[in-house]
Amino acid sequence: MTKDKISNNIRKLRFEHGEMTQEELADRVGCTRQTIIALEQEKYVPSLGLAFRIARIFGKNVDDVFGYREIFWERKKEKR
Amino acid sequence: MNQAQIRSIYSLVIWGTVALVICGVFFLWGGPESFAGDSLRILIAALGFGFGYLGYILMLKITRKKSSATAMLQDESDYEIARRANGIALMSVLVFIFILSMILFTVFQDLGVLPVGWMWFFAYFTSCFGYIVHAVTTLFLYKEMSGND
Repeated sequence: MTKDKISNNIRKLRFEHGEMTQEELADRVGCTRQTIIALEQEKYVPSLGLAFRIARIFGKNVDDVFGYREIFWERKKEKR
Repeated sequence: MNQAQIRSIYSLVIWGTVALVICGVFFLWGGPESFAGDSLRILIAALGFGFGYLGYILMLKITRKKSSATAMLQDESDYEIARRANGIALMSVLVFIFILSMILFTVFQDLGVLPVGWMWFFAYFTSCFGYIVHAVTTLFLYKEMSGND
């Protein structure tokens, strides 16, 4: 069984774009600062729409902002 | 702390107090068997529940805020938390009803009759339980998602 893991480099991109604040990014993409914090800590997976809006703000593709990998739950079985 | 978290804390206080009042009136003051025949206890339980709802509605009105053009109050992550909290609260209430029903059935099976006062307790406490679980779940999910915020 696998679990999706979505990583991102929003924090890095914010600093590369004139040290944009979380509040400013939230206002520009239409979400709350709390969601940006959760995204940066990888504790929340955004909707596709939000992911595209964030990527557009930074002038990147979604792939450049978000990363995807699978985590195997049953690691013991995998090793066998 | 956002609006949903503030409301959850108030909700927890309100329904926790109502649950304590109902449990006190039901269990400590004469016990479940004599509850149905005691109109004063029925009245106190009903008033406690009524004031609980009144307080809850007032709290919703007082804590009501509207999203402005610059600051958004709720977004998709809040809706996701609300959706998960609703689901968990619903399942918890169903499990609670099932377990309490089974306990009552087991305890009163040999007697063949159930003191009708238990139905009052069932009705009142299940409502309080649902609100309490929803509030606790909401606060927990925000804590999980926000980390150190």
